[in-house]
Amino acid sequence: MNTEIVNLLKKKYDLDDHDLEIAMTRVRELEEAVKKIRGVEIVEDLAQLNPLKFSNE
Amino acid sequence: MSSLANLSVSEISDLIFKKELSPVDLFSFYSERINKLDSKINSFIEIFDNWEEKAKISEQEISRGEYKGPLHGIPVAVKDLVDVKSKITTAGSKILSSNIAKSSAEIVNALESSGAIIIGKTELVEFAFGPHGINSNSKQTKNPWDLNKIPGGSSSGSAAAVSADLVPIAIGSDTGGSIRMPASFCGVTGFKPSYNKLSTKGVFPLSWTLDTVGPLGKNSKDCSIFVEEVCKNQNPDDQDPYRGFSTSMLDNFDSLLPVRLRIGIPNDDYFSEMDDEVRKVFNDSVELMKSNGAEIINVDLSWLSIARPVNVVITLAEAISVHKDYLISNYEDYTYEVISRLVSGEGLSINDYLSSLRVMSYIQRKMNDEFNNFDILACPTTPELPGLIEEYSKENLSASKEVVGGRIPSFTSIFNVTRQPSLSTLAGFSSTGMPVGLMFTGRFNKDFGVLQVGNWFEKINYNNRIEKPTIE
Repeated sequence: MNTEIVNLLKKKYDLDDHDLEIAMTRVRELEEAVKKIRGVEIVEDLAQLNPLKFSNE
Repeated sequence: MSSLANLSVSEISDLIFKKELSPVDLFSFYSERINKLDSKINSFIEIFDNWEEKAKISEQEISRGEYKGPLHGIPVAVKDLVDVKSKITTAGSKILSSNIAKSSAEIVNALESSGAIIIGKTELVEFAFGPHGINSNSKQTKNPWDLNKIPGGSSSGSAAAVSADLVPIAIGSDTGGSIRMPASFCGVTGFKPSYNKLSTKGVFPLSWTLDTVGPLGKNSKDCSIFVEEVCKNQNPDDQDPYRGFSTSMLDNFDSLLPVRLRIGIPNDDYFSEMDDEVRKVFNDSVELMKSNGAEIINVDLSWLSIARPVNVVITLAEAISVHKDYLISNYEDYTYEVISRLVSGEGLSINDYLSSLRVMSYIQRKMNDEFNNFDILACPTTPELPGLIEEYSKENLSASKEVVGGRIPSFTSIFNVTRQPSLSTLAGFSSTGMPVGLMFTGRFNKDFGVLQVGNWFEKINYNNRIEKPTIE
């Protein structure tokens, strides 16, 4: 995923090297976040939950 | 009248009610103080030129007996992502430097109906997207307690202005802690209401699922006055203004001290990860509450650590959507600290976003059950102290393998996902004299209870709250 994102960000936003490095620390943070969220989905059966309806509206 | 700087909104409004102080006196005092001191901390973007005229009108209304309530004639500063009619809303960005608001935000209209005087716009992180209070498109707001340190963000200017006594109360917004983190770093009280309690209409969005607006003030009582007055005056078409927050409860505010309050203290690995200096102040606060009659209940909330990544994914996914046009037309005008953050969301899928929303729903249910075991949850506002501004330069950020200051929102961001009311108040100081905040969080829609506990804690912790920053 990292290589794909680097190429996409370079092509789409023409970021300089510093911006790209900062963005990549964020991409890594985000990948970790997504991994953890998928982990919850596997452990808990959340399929019945409507993603657009919350207990605390 | 130098002691006026130390007075809270409730104390000032008492004097106004008794006609011992007028809104024009407040204009003279605070405008002089801003002119003299704001260049040291850079908390304001703009001071409105109609402040004196509005103060005179308020003075005439009060002298005619048309007193509107505890905010009548009180100066209020506004974070510059909240619209004020005919004024520019920059959201801290070059991109919106000529964005004149056609109408005022609902919260501004409500405050003006309550008699408050909107005096100007405060600095913020560009588009409210960052916890440190860094904005390379600005003069850079500084922490009044140490001018080399970050003020926290994103409501950096509002927190710094209240901390330096340049205004008695200010509006902030909070998506992952943007009211509470700067409140903690600058030693003031910041309150994030329950989601949808106060209208966000006319406030530039970051994440519509998580965004809230609320006050930064000297104490919990002032924040309560603010919330109650906005609830009374905001448009009921947008909100249910009295839901969970009966008006006039402030009449008995000081006497409504909690009896046998059960305070949940998370003692798991996630919530235990904090700097030693923060831990010491937090432990002292817990002991203080215990010795004043509270029952301390240790709880394991390690499962709640998932709320932080949920906040990150939802915020980024929605921010990318909010910014999609600017990201095409104006990406060169973003600050380095925000563009690098925004574009990282390009790798997110629809599945990632919807999964995060599902987990958010699950977290809310589970958290509502946890609150059967205690009345209120207490933890440090941030796990670390504010760092140096220079650590956040473009070169330093790009040289770092990890997100610099990435732990700062670890605790605050959780309660945007649960949507619960959450307050940060000054608990004590580090060995270097920096403020350390304590955060109270209550059941969803029980905002008044959180403010009431904050008021109780501030009273029993009075001895640790008397120091003031010295920027004069």
